This record gives sequence, C-alpha cells and structure tokens, in this order.
Amino acid sequence: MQATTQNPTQQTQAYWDLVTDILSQAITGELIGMSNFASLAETIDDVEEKMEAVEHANSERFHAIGFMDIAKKYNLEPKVNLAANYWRRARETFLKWAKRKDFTACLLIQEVILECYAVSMYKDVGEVLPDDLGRLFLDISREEEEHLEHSIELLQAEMERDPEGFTKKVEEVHLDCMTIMAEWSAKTDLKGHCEVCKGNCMKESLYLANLDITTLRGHAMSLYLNSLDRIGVPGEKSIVWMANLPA
Amino acid sequence: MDGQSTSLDFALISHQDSWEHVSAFLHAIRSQDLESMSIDKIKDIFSWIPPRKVFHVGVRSTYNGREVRGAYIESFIPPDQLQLTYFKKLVQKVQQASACAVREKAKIVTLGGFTSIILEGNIDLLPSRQGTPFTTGNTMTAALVVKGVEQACALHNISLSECNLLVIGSTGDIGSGCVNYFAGKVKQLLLCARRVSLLEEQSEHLKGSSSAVRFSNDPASLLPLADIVISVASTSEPEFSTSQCQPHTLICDVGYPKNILPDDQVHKNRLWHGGLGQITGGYYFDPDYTGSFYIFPYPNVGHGCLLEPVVLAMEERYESYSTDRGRITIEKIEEIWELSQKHGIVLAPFFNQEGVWQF
Repeated sequence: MQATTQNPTQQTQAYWDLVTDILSQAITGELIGMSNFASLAETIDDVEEKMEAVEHANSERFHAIGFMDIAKKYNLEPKVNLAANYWRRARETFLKWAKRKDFTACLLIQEVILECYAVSMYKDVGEVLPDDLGRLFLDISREEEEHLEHSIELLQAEMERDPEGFTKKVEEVHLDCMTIMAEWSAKTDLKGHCEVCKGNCMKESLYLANLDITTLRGHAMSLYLNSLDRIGVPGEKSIVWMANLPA
Repeated sequence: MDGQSTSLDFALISHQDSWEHVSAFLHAIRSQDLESMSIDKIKDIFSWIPPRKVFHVGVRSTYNGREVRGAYIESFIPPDQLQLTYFKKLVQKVQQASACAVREKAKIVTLGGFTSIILEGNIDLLPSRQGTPFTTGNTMTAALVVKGVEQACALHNISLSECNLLVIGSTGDIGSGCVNYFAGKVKQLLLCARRVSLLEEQSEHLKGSSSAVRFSNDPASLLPLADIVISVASTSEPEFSTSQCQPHTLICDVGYPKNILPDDQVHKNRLWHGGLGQITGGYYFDPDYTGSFYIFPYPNVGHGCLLEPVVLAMEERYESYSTDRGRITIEKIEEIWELSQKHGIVLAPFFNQEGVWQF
C-alpha cells in the first residue's frame, strides 16, 4: 500500500466520509478495549497485575481520545457505537470469559485477537493516510504491538505449563471471538451492517485511500497466526481452526 | 499431537501446484457442516497464511522395518505465483517455512518443488539454520527420472543409443543432472533452456562426450526432433503439448506444475509423470489427509524431492545431499538410487493425466 499523494485539502467528500468511518471503527474498538481491560482487572487477584490491567485500560482510553481529537481537528464527526453489531458481540464474548474469571481466555481475546487486528489494520491505514492522521495510526499501532508482545510472553508460559489444556482453550476462544472478527472483516459483512459506518459499508470505498479489505484482513490474519505460532500453538491445529472460519 | 515436537527425522517443505489441489486440501480440513468455499474466496485467504506444519508423515523402510517420522510444512505459496516475477515474496515464504522446520527440530529438511528453484539451490539465502542440513531433493528426482526413462525405453523396446534425447530445462539442476547421466548413452542430446549463454556453456562442457549436441532456447524447434523428451522446466502451467512431438516419442513430464499438455491420444502410453517414487513399505499422514493431499492413481507414491530426505533419514545420513545448481553427478544419482532401492523406495508405475499406462 502506498500513501495517497494528494494534499488532504484536495480530497473528495467521499474520501473524508471513509476516514470518518475508519476513525469510528478505531474509536469504538479502543473503547471496547478499554472496557475489556477494566473488566479484566476484576478477574485478577494479584494486585500488581490488577494495576497493570487498569493502566492498559487507561492506555486504550488515551488511544480513543487521540482518535477523537484528530477527528475534531479535521472537522470529522465519527460515530461511536459500543452496542454495534460486531463490537458488541466481541465485548459479550469477553465478558463471558471474564465472568468465569478466566484471565488466560480474556488475555487471548483482548491482547491477541483484538490486538492483532488493531496492530495490523492501524499500520496499514497509517501508511496511507496523510500527515498527522497517518502518524497517529502508526504510533498507536506500535503501542498496541507492545501489548501484543507482552501477552505473547505470558501465554508462552501458559503453553509450556499445560500444552494440551492450553491448546484446547485457545481453540475455544478462537471459535468464540475469531468467528466474529472473521464475519466483520469478510469482503462483505456476513452478519449485516456493522452499525458503526455512517452510510454504506466502508469496505466499498476503501480504494479511495489505496486500501482494500482483502489485504487488511490478510495482514491481520497473518499476524494472528504468527502470534499463535510464537505462543507455541501447533501449526497443524491453527490451520484447521482458520479453515473453519466464515469467509 | 500437541505442543512442539521433540525431534523429527525429516521435514518436507513444499507447495500445491493448482488451486483445485489447494481447495481439496482446505475442504478436507473444513467442517462439512460449513458452506464450501469458492476458489475465489480461497484465493483471497490462502496466500496470507504463514507457512506451517500441517501434518506428520511416517515412512517405513522395508530393509530394517524402521519407521522414520517427519512433518510436511506447507509454504502456502499461491499456485499462480509460481514464477520468478514473485521472487521477493516467494523467498520470504521459503525463509518462513525453513524457520518453521528448524523450530520443529527436524534433523534434515528438503525444499520441494518450486521452493528450491526460487533459491536456485543456494541454501545460504535461508536465515539461521542452526546447523540443520537442508537439501533440495533434486538428486533423488533426477535418479527417478533417468531410471524411469531407461525403464520406459525397455518397455517400448527402444534403444537409447539410437535416440535423440531432448531435455527442456537442461541447464537447471535436475535437467543438467539428467544431461550428465545420458551424455554418451544417447545418439544426440538436444538441450533447451531460456538462457542461450548457459546453453553454450553446457554444450561446450559436453564436447568430449560421444553424443552429438544441439541446443536452442526455442522448444518448438527441438520437440519434433526428439525420440525422448524430459521436460523439467519451471512453468506455472503447461507450455508444450504432446502434438508437437513425433508419435513414437517418449515424454517424461517432471514439471510441478506440469509442463506438458496431453492433447492427443497417440502418446497416452508414452507420456508419464516422472520423478516419482513408490514407497513399498508404505506411508501414512497424521492427521490422515491422504484422500485430499498429493493424490496419485497408485498408492504410496511421492515426489522424488520429498523422498530424498526420507531415504537419507533411513540411512541416518543427515547431510545437505543436494545443494547449489549443476552438482548432480552420475555417482550421486547411482548412490541415492541404490539407497532408495535398499529401503524399498522404487520407481512409481507409469501414469499421466489420462490415467495409468496400459498395454
């Protein structure tokens, strides 16, 4: 993907509508992340880790504020909808595991699955959006990457402790959450409109910013599989899980 | 099997040669309760999957009954990108697949099909191998090709010494191995490759041989002159057809994907897929994807490049047996052939797209 060469002021209204939708998804996603980390804090008994979860929630809040501020600067009005179709279901899945006080599963949902999408898609978007808009996405992508790295280390230890039990849990969480993300990032929204984009599905206009959903989804999926590999999940298992996702 | 394997006798890195084969594999691992995926949908996903181990392989030697155990690592190279124009992307895939094999602690790793072609056998292009020997498997493929040609000639009562042998892709690793083997054994060697400078060099090198030598970078000019054709070119789809050959010509298609389009009935029992071996001791996949992965009309058949590390593992010779380009000697062909026979890996029966040869 290449950065758009046009001056931001020369872009069409359709382009800015697209940027607004991208920001809407990013803000909603960050606020879901913030809520998830806040819920995660409740599942943890260790005081240090509890504080760390709150810190992460705050970090996601700052990311959301960053996106909101830049929207204001460009006179864009993103739509924030925490009850939106796919995001709400992702949050409900997280809460299901949080209720069971399953820290590992919560980590897998927030820090691996959702973070892989954030790291990868922010990077792709950051590379094509102009000026400080692009830079903001790239900066936040890098920060999210640190969250991902940290969780990979924690989960590697879980994998070493109980390879069979851990792999089973990853499979269950994958089915729960990746199914939603696969539906959301398919070429067309498989379960209807996302309820975050203002008009039609933004996937149709991604080309205006030299983006396309196949590449965005491909990079996210690739990062997710690489992360599972690094955690130690057997490749012959994760390929079967991927092949069984909705497409 | 969960978790990281402790150690594998071998690892096989390869790729699929058509979208139909990719689809068969993906649908074998996809639940039948889910809707089937169109080729277009598969194309949107496949190339983004990082290389990974997809199943274990067990092979039994008929010599001592010992089973060697390995893994198949799919590179997830899209079949329509099996061209040098995608060099950078393909090298990255091969590097990732190699890292996966090293992570699996394989004692020897082979680079099957296009994965070795892209490196031109130069394993130094691979990242940290941590002492793991890599081989291209090309010596075994060359051995199965040349022994196949000899056997096909015997079946058709053809005398090699009276034949013009055309090798398409003659300056490549397998092609040059075949040329070296048949130099002095056939009446004329017809050499064909893309780069004329390499053909001139190869022709010069063969000057001392008793076989006459002729070369061209245009296969169409040489195909009608050949009594035997070995086609080992790197093409993403068939580029030659049997109708360009004489009716009596024997044609060995070693390409993966295939080089030759069978467009007549005359060559039905004269065209075969070469470079394949049959494991008489049998093999298994775990999980069992045998019904949808590398399907042949005969059981226990495998590509030579994937069989070479198996033979070497059976011999406990964990070494980079085939590397670089143009280093396949007659001695090495005979050695790997002898070792494979010892462990019950023999020439696969003759077949082509139309089915098995029938007399």
